[in-house]
Amino acid sequence: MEKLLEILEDIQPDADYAACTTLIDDGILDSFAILSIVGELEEQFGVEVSPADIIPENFNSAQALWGMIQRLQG
Amino acid sequence: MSFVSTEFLLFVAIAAAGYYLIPKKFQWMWLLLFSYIYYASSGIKFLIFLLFTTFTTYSTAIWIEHVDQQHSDDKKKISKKKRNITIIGLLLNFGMLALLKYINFGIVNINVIFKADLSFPDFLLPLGISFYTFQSMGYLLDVNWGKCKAERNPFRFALFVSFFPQILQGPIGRFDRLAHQLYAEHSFNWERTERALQLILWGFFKKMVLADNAGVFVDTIFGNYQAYPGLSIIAVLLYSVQLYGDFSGGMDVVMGIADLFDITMDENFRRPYFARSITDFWHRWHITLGTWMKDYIFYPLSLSRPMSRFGKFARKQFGKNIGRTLPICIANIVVFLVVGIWHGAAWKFIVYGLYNGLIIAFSGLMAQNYRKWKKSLHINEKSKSWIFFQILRTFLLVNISWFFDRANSVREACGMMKNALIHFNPAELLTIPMGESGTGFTPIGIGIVILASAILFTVSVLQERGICIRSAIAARPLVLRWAIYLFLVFALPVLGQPPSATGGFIYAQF
Amino acid sequence: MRNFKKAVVVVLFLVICLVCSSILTFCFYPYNYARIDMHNIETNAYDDIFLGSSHGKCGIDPLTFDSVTQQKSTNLCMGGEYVQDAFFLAKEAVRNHKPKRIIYELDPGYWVTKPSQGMDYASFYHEFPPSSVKVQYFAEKIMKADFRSTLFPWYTYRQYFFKVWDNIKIKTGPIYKAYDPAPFTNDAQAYKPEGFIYRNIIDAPKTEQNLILWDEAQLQRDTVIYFERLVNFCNQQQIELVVITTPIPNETYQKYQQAYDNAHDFFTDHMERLGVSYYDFNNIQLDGFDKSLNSYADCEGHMYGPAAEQFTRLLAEYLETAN
Repeated sequence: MEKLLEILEDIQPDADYAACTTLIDDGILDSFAILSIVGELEEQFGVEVSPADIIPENFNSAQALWGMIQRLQG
Repeated sequence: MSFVSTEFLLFVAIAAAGYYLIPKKFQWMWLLLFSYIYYASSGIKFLIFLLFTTFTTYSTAIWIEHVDQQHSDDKKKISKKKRNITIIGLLLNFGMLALLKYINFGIVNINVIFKADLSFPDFLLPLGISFYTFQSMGYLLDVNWGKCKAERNPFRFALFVSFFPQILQGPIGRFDRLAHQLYAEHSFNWERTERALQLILWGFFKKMVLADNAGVFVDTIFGNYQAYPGLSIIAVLLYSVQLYGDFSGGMDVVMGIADLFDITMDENFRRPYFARSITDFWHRWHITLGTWMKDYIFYPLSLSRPMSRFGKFARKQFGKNIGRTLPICIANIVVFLVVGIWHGAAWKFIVYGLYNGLIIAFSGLMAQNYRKWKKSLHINEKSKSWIFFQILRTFLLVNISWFFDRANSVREACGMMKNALIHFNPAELLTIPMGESGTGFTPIGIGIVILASAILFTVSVLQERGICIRSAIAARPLVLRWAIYLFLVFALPVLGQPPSATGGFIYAQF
Repeated sequence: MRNFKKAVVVVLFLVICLVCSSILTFCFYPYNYARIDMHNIETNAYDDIFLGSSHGKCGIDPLTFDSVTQQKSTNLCMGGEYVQDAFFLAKEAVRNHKPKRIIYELDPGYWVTKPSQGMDYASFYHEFPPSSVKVQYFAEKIMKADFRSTLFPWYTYRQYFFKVWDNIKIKTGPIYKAYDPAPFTNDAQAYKPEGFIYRNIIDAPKTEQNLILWDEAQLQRDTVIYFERLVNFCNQQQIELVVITTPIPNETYQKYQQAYDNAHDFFTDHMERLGVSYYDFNNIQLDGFDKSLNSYADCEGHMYGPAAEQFTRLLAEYLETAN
């Protein structure tokens, strides 16, 4: 989880990843940021993210992202 | 049927009235009937193309689901089979679109490069083929990815493809948001009907009063730019006003008509000229095309295996930051190349697409640097002056792209931009005649464009602040409400430009 | 009750719009000589009816024509009258008193352009009395046009607000009710009996401002279809249909000879296939008619009054011998 927060901070700093649940809805993460994050997740966690996974439900908060990573790893 | 014809207004009135008079369970069939009547009115022979897309998409989607439901442990094999079926559907439909829309462009260029003398009969494009093809292919990909279930009823599916308000110029809808509305039962509601009619009226105002009047000047200047060297800047500004008024006006009419049937379409415009970057602009302009490109080309391409491999290679060569951004930039450029080509079979559209793609790609690559520089220059990103700067800068960049969009060729676009840098003589505007009235009424025409722009600007600022205009007006006393509506109704004949020989909405040609 | 109140409010709003628009129509929509032309075919029986463009309007004098043929004719040509309009005028004429012959003045420029939705667009339609023909005309032409043509017929005249007072005076006075052509007489021209516009010989520059040349690539399918419908209608009604093209100035012909020759070839062929007699007076010798610019008010082909009378005489004699 810390690793994930590090990645998020590096790609799109100045957002409250601990608390925010509207990262997509509020436009904090745009499509470039999303894809950069996905690239890092694939590199760091060895998961394969498909286009069908790129939905607000998976990206609106750090928790949701972590849940997606775990599902893809499992 | 032209959107601005009496015929079409009558058609919508009959469709809407009948919709609420018949038993609710038949409402979607009524819509299907009227959608096909509308489509047939453009030429019965074009129905074959609509039916082709409807049938091929319907069958391939069901086939995909059938394969998906096969009990097999070999998930990879199933996935591959589904993908191949999807590719068949995509090739059939995009192939048809490419053939009809781009064959002549291809042949012209082959002839130039290979000094050949090929020719191909001139096809008239089936109505709305770009829009309904994209909408259908989005559905097919959604089924492939499991985002939605395949529609089993062929007639219901036919309605999704042919729904008449959107077929001419979008918005490009998504199955999971649109379909259930189309098939549901709807009750009549006065307030909703009133709001819908107000939206339609507003759309016609933007089109007839703002866009068509600005269009007189735009057509004249872009049609012969060398005769008006001092007007390049004004021409492109008027074009930005015309294009927005025409397209968003058309969208308001479409959404208003859909609202009459209690169907909410996806937003296509969100005050685009208030955008703070080109990226932001494409989140506000022709939104459904942008999101379609994002979901069906940009993400799949960026996440594809070849792109991942390239990403790994780029990381090794250029470091982590550039390495992870470069594949995304390339995918983005490809997307905007497609956006450019979508607009038409001409080099200027390719330049238009690349121009947008390169700016966004470049700003993606430079994102970290931009953040560093802003910090070191102590720029407050939330300050009004910074936001104003961003809006102005974006507006300038967008207007440069409009040169390529509107000029007759790349060469002419460059010629006009050169003029824009050297000459500026607004007085030349007064030499342009307005319709049958000669130049005597040109100052009035200019005045109308300024007035309508001011009204639109005011409305946009209020909307940007979150105010719902129609609710705000509805809350006012009757006399004021009626004054506004009467103004809008009579502005159409009094201030609106009569249709030219080429008439119609700009985006209805795609 | 709430729904009923809402309905009343909406209906009231629409009524106000309708009333305002009707008042504006009365004030802005001018007295047009199409009203006199229509009145002629509503009330009189004619043997010959001329349909066509402004070339025919200025070039054919029914009284001169009648003096040769000893029949009765009227000129329903008009600037902006496309084949579609001619078709419905023919239908309306037949609805009142069937003519023996329709003479259609063909201007090739009208076959390669679409009608523009300006002031001329609904000139005749506006003057049609209510009938099934008017309904059909509405459905096939006006309904397909911009909705402002239907809901706000005055809108193409909106810039002539300085003429509003004159319009009101004419419409409330005896001139309008008596179909008096007096308002259409000025220094440049006069409206003569049976729809002939007599162009006075005045000192004004002769331009080719509205000249539209024939170009087969621009042939309008709708026009071709409506002409076939006109031919079929005349056959069904046993009305003789004759097509003519009035002569243009020699100078214009020599300048654009290829285009005019192409038009001649095309229409000769086309009319032959349809079994319709066609006389192109650009190609036919007219002894006694001066085809130079001296006879015309412009380079496009609008004849001066005296030349038109001369041409009409020769036209009538030619048609008599052709028969």
